[in-house]
Amino acid sequence: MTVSSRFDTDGGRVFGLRTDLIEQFIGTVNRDLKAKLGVVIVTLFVIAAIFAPELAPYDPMAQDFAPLQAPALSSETPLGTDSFGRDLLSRLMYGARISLGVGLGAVLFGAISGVLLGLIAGFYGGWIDDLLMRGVDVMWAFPWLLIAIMLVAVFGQGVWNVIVAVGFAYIDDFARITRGEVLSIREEEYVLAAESVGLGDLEIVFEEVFPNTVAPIIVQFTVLVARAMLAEATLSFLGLGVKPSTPTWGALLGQGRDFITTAWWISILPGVLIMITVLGINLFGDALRDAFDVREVDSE
Amino acid sequence: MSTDSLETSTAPAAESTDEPLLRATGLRKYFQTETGLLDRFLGEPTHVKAVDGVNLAVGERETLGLVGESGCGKTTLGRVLSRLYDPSAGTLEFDGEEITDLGGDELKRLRKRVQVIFQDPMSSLNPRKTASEIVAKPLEVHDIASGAEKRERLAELFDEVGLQESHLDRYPHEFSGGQRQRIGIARALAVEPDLIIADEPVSALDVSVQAQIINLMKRLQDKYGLSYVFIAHDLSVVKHISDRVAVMYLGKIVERGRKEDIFGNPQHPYTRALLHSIPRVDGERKRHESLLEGNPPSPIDPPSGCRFRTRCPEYLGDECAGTEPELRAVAGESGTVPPPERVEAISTGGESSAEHAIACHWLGRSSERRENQDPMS
Repeated sequence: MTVSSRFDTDGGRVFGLRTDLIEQFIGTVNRDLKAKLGVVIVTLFVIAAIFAPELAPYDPMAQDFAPLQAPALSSETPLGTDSFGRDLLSRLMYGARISLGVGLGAVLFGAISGVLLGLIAGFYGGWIDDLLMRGVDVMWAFPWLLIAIMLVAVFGQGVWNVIVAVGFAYIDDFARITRGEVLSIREEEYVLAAESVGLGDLEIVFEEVFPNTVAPIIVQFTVLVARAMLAEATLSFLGLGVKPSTPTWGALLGQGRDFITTAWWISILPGVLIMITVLGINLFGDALRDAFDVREVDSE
Repeated sequence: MSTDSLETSTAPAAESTDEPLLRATGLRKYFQTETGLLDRFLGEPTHVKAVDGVNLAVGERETLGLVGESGCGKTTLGRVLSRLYDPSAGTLEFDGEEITDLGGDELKRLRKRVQVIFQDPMSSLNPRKTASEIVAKPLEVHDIASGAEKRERLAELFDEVGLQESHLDRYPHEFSGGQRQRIGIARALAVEPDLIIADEPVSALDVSVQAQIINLMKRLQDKYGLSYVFIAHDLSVVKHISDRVAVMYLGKIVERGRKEDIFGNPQHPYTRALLHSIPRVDGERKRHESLLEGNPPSPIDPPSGCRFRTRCPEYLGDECAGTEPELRAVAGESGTVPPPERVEAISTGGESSAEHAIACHWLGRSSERRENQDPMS
């Protein structure tokens, strides 16, 4: 029955996202070449990361000292091997899992904590706002690397610890952006209208306020995913990341440093991959923002 | 409350209805001005006195028009009346019960009976929700309807406010201003309230659309027995819909009465100046120079005595700066003048009703002297 579908106010959602927003996103991607590029890059790397065990030609940990004698680039190992004779292509593919995973995970951690803080601080204002935001200021005052080193020192190495250590530094970014958005949205009459209808605070924050703050949060998210990947690389480079033998782009970059004059690609390739991924994620984020920002539609 | 309470001296000008639906007594709303950390500890806090001692009553099935310039506190008053803001002082009664301090579930129950229509039809609708999601919300919150029943009710509401079923799944930005305001009205109507506070519901709309919305509101009032507090900055807008009118200046009501009193026999210099400045339809005469110059003074530090004295075209003298005039009944008092010549008078025979009251030092003084210096005749 067509009538019921038109009235179906709760329908039209996939994974909690409205289908019309997804359609809008697809439309943006089709129109915009940069968006298309972003989507292609991100999809490619995500696939490489997820299916690394199936796609990688060799076990990334398997050492084979024979090829070391031979020229590094050969038909068997298209990108050569590292100093332990481990296939570089395989290691790069496996490395994508850690690098992308830590990048996404760290920012997700920072975003969830920061957005919650920002929502509470902005919505309630007063001393709650003062307390939370001054706390955030204190976090901001510490260099992130110092905090990360401290956290890794206390909790030890490991993927989850790196995620927390890197993501911790992003809480203040998200908190500040969200709070700023909430402050302006709180003045909108639809928030008062929701109150006049009888909605409770929680419903107002998550149904009326939060959905209208997502555009800048998404942008920040993508910018920070890129930065988090660099942060992970930095930590791994310094030997503070995940276990040294685990392949991550940062670690590969660091390990290749000793051979930069004789086998430059060991360092350069992971660096280039980081750069391309960062670019792809940023383009992807721009497309997401364009699709989700209703305000841009209004101004036409 | 201090001695400046309006209660004691306004006995003759008591509000009309015996048992009003909504009654406000000595209502005040002060906002603390934004201060830095140092000021907070050292300085004295300053307050914006947005609403500064207001008494009013709204009867059942009645419309109270609330009029004043921008910044006079009428929006704040509307929000206090609907309990969106908590009053700083004074009491609010709704249907015989005090609602000043209601919270939690009781406040939620009140929300079902008192609804609000907002000024900006764009800002008052969440841009990320469809029209049906917006109007369905009150039905869900108050467990009024769900499932098929909810859909039926939505279609009914949309039809009632002049929207079509095909509008249900559209987003606010796909509507015109007038249509958006209709969505706002449907949202307010969804819970079948007794009282609707309409905060400048037509100010943001084109003149032709204004009339449609006002007519819609009037029809809904007749059909559902609604009461309205209709806020506007323009007397001509409330003329059509109001039974009673209150004119506000800088946080206080300076004149109130039946519609006929305000439009047929305005007595406060502010009301008279406002009416005088309404452009007339007969294009012959040019628009008059407004008698009101400049902006209202700051409500942080209102003028001593009569708040209107700094802009009053009928300034009386030192009395005005001395004590603050209180609302007093006009009927039978001297110091009154005929309506300004430009006013398209509603005939009252020059008689004020019992509830017609103004807060002005002219009341009780020489009518002759006031007429002689009347700048509007």
